[in-house]
Amino acid sequence: MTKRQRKCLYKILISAVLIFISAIFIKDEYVKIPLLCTAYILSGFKVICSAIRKIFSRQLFDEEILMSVATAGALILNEFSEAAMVMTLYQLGELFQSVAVGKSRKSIKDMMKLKADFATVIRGGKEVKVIPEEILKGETILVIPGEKVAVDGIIEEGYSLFDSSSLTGESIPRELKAGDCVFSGMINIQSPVKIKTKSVYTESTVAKILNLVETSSLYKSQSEKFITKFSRKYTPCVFFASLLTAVIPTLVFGQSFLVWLRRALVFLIVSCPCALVISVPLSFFGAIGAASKQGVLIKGSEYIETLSKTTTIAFDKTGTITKGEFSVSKICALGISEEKLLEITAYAESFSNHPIALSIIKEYGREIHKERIKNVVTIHGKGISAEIDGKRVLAGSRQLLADNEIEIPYNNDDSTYVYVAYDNDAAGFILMEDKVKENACESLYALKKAGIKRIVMLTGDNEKTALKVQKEVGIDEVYAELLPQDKVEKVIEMKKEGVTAFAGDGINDAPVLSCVDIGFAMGALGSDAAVEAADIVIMNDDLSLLGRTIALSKKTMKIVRQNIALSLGVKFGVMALSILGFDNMYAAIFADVGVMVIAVLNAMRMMKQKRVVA
Amino acid sequence: MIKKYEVSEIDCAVCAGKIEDAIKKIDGVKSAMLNFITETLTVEADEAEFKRIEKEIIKAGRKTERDFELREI
Repeated sequence: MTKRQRKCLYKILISAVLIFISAIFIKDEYVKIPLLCTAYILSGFKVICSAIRKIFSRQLFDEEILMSVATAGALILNEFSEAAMVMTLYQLGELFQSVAVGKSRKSIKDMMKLKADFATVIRGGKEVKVIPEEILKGETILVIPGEKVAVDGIIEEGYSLFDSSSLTGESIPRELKAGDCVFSGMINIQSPVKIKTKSVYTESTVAKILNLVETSSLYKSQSEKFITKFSRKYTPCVFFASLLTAVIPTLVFGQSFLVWLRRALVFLIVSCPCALVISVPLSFFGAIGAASKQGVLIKGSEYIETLSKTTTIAFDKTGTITKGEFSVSKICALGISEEKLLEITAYAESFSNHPIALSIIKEYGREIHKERIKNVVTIHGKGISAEIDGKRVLAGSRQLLADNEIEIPYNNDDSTYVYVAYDNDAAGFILMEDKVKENACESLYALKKAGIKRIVMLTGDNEKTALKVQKEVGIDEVYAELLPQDKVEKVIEMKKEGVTAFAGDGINDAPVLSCVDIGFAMGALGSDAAVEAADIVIMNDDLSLLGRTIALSKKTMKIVRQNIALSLGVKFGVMALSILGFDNMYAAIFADVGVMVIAVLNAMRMMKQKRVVA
Repeated sequence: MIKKYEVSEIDCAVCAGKIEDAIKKIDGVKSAMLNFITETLTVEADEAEFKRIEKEIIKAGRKTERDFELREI
């Protein structure tokens, strides 16, 4: 509680005690009235002052004015205890609202605590502590265990484990060594490292994420826009309705003015739309916060609403459904052993940094003695020729072997086959494969369970590979051999049949991402292009987060709808009752404050959950 | 030029909306965004005019929320 809130609480407590004493112990009206007036003024003085000021500055339909008018009405009716009670309860409600909002603000801010408070820069051989904004590009910073990395950079010296859970939601720390990229917001958990910065703070990952969360209120959902509009019209409407309730029965039907004035006051008391106005954005913000804890950045509540209605998801293949890295799936040797074939291929490829070469070297897994290799020649687009232990090795396409007049008895013209010749003779082939992600199958199944009707894969790859992936993971439709513009066309077709999302790695998919209803960029940590182009950014490349995010969006919308229904239901209910003769002001204020409390607590459920199970 | 502020003592989302609208109407303000939950205000205006605009923002804020405060971040 802040100082202001505590002061407010004391006033409320004293007022409550005064009201209690006057109700139970005091019978004499001459003592009772001054006591109740003291309670009323104590809790309501600021409200009334502010109301008067607002009337002068022409902000007529404000809840403070409504409350002042309502309690003034009660005073006119000689209902001193009701006036004091309503004002005290109103202040209690305001206090609760302030505490609840403060709490949820705090929990959201905690989630966003990605920014380092300071960083240690090495300047002129000395360690200097500065705030992240003062670090220049290209400086060296020292990050000791327990510290957050302040700006993005490359490790210059040292080796350590880094906790990236607040960025990506991954619980397993990353091992990073000299030459690796480190992102701001990661926490060093093992040993000190020196990092050469590659951006200033405002261009670092953390600043971008924080900026994204702060500007998320720009992309407001339909429900939020509705609430804002509604609240602007609702308050004046209630005000006039209450005026009519007080006047019409008296003037037209000649009924008692005092009876209808009381009923009109009940109207005023329930008129505050705050339960809606607070709980709806709070639910959305809670959802954005809960998602960011798992490494999913949602750019605005608009996207939560759209996502909850999504029926079709299109995927890119490479890097999204598959890992995007090649591994050896089959070795077929001729005349030499499989181990020997792998060894000579790894040696021949050891000067290359092509993804296929790297995977073969990784599969070989042993040290490469470079002195055994001579005369390495890269034949562009075909492969490599090298001399290993004095014998010639060719590794590459069929064409490479054919050019050297070596016959190989296999006939697969796929780029994922590496054909090898050893000592001028065919030695076999190594088949490379881009493997499907381990959890792809379950993740796609989870999407179906979360209500997705149509799962489509769009790929530039050949049909054979695409169909194989389809079989493996269970996709409804596959479109292969597509150019980027074909993907856009397909997606536009799909949009005609239902709300469509697209998930890709975000780098080559920018045109598609920009034309779907919801664009997911996966594995986006460190990729600005992806963060820019997508509506929802998944920092790591875990496919299961898609289903979880959809489940989260549905849950959010459910809570939002519950809150709208509850608040409006109770308010309209009390209004209807008051016309029928219900004129208990205590009950009215309890209904108003109570509904707000329930709605805020309901909205805060969004923040509490750490993981949503799809 | 864009400046960011931390605002305090806004408890009600309707009030935040009203204050945001009022700030947008201040002479010289090109754009303004008040985020109720993170309590941040982003204002775009010409650098030379910021001093006057800041004063007017506080005035506009206090009209709706009497304890409104503004701090540059």
